[in-house]
Amino acid sequence: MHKVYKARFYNGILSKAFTVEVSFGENELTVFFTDNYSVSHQIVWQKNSIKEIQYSSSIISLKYDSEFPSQQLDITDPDFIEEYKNHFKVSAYNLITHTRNRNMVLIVFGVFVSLMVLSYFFVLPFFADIFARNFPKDIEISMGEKLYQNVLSGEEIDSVKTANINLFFKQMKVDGDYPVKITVVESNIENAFALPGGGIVVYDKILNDMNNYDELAALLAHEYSHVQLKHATRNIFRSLSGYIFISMFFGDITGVSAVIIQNADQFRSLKYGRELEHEADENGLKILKSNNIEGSGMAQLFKNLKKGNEIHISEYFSSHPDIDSRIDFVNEYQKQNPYTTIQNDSMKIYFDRIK
Amino acid sequence: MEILNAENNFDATNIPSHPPVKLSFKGSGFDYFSILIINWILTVITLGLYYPWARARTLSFIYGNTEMENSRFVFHGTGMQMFVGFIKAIVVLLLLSSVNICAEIINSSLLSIIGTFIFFTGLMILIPIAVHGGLRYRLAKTTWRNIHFGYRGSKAELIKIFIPGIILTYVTGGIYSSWLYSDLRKYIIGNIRFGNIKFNYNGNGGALFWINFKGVVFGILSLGIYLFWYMKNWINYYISNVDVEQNGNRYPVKLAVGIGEYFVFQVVNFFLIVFTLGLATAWVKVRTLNFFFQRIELPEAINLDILEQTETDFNDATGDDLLGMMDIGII
Repeated sequence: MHKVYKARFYNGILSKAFTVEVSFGENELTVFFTDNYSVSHQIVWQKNSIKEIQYSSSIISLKYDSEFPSQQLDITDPDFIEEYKNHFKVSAYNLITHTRNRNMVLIVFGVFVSLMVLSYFFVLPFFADIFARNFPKDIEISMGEKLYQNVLSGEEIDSVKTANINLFFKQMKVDGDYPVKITVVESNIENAFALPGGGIVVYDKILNDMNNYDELAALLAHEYSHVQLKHATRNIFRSLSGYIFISMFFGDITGVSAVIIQNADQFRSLKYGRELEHEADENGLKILKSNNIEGSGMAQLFKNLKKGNEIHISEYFSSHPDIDSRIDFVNEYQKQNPYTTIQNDSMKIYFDRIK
Repeated sequence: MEILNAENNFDATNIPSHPPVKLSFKGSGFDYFSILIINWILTVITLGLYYPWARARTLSFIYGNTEMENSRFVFHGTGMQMFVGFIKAIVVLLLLSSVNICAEIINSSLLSIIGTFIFFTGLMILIPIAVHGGLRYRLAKTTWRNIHFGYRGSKAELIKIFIPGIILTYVTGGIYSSWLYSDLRKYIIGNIRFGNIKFNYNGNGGALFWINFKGVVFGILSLGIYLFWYMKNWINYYISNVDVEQNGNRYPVKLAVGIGEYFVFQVVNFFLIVFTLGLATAWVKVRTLNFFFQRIELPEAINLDILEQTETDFNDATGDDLLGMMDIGII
């Protein structure tokens, strides 16, 4: 004789709960009850028509899915819930979420979060970078072109300086086949930046502060390095992948953590920005070296920048490395890589015209 | 089965009186946390595909832990139904924005204007359709003691209430929204069935407008502190104006949330969320259910043992998924 458990039975016609007894059989579940006239009855539920509609550590609800409306059993007897596992397949989902051993959930959660943190810091940047480096050049250039027009719309362009700065750049020997296009914009801001695909924008304030053509060569070498090393594209891929990753994770949890995590992500991308700047400084110095142009122009350029930006902010909050350490780096590079410099007269002429 | 039914053939008026019917939530914060975490992990590793199953599991957990008169509610919807609905919902939204997408491809501003017009007009019609479908699915899949809930409203009627209402709301700068809200609620709640039980909503737009008006004015004057009163008034009004109708008799649902308890409840929820970076969401949800369940009183005169199965099944989850995607909550 199989063990008998107390249960509540609902017939699907009326809401009244009937107290019944159930027992497990080989291929069925049998429901026993006694009616008002003390006559015993039994209903047999075939196993393959039984559907689990509720599973938890305190209650199991089953329905007999023969036709609508179905019959339903609610069983709260802990022994039944234990025995149930021997007769019916309990999904892994239910086993994990309704385990009495709560550590299970915490362990799964901990392992998953650690894996995700690892991928966020190591796996994701690695793939984003590979993807960016192999991004088709023609798409990069046409995207950059659109961006370039956007950036320049509404800006005052100095066409004479623009023509001369492009001639100046033509004098420099550089690797890579990006169609470099430099534009000088009138502005009080001491800045210059590179866009993906070859566009470079220089604000004239930075030019006005220069005294020697090697400073301009250093500036263009630095900005061109951003283009050549696909920095803008790499940066876009990096922040985009970070953004997608984070929204995937926290989009569904709550707004608060999403905001905090996204701000934390900003610091990561600022750090990446500083790494790229450093890479561009180093590559720029190599370009100067291969053109036999004085590298100290770059140090002077940074000194000019420093004068223009008196407010000092911690490197941690900035997209650029600290200026003093950049100057130190240039000096150190020159000490390690001595070379002879040759005066370039045509560059000097174009520089004077720009001035 | 004949025998089982026989013992219920008694007169509904002879029921001895008993204390008010209460709802209670039997799940713990940790139980809910487990569900959310596992759902979250599965959704992430399937790149979002698990979402419909997660939704079904979550609903199933919430319903399955809600108890009334010693019996739990059951949500019968499945992940598969919700997945099919999810795909249909995506197709519907894509179709709505198809003209806009074409406009973007051929770069035509005229087409883009037409596309935007189509999108918003379509959305205006889609919202009541989604609400209708969502209610039908959600309620048909909800049972208590194996008796199904149901929604008997008509799609056309809901559109007739919604579209002029939303236009009037727009024209009156939002003032009409209180009346629209009331009309919708009256129609929707009036069409919900639970076996042979009916529900009614007795609130009116004027009273709701007054609550909203005070909320905005005092909310601004008190630098937001009045918002606690506002939300409390709103919830009390919203729930206390529902009544339950059985055999022609109407019994009111009671809810009276006090300002002190509501304030403490909300402040604690806020700190729980902020200081755990959202990890306490599950506990907050369970606290919220407990808070309201402890305070809502269903009429004691209602006889929950004689509900008859009256509703039919409904398997299309598209409306429910659309509401989920557009972030519209019903009931």
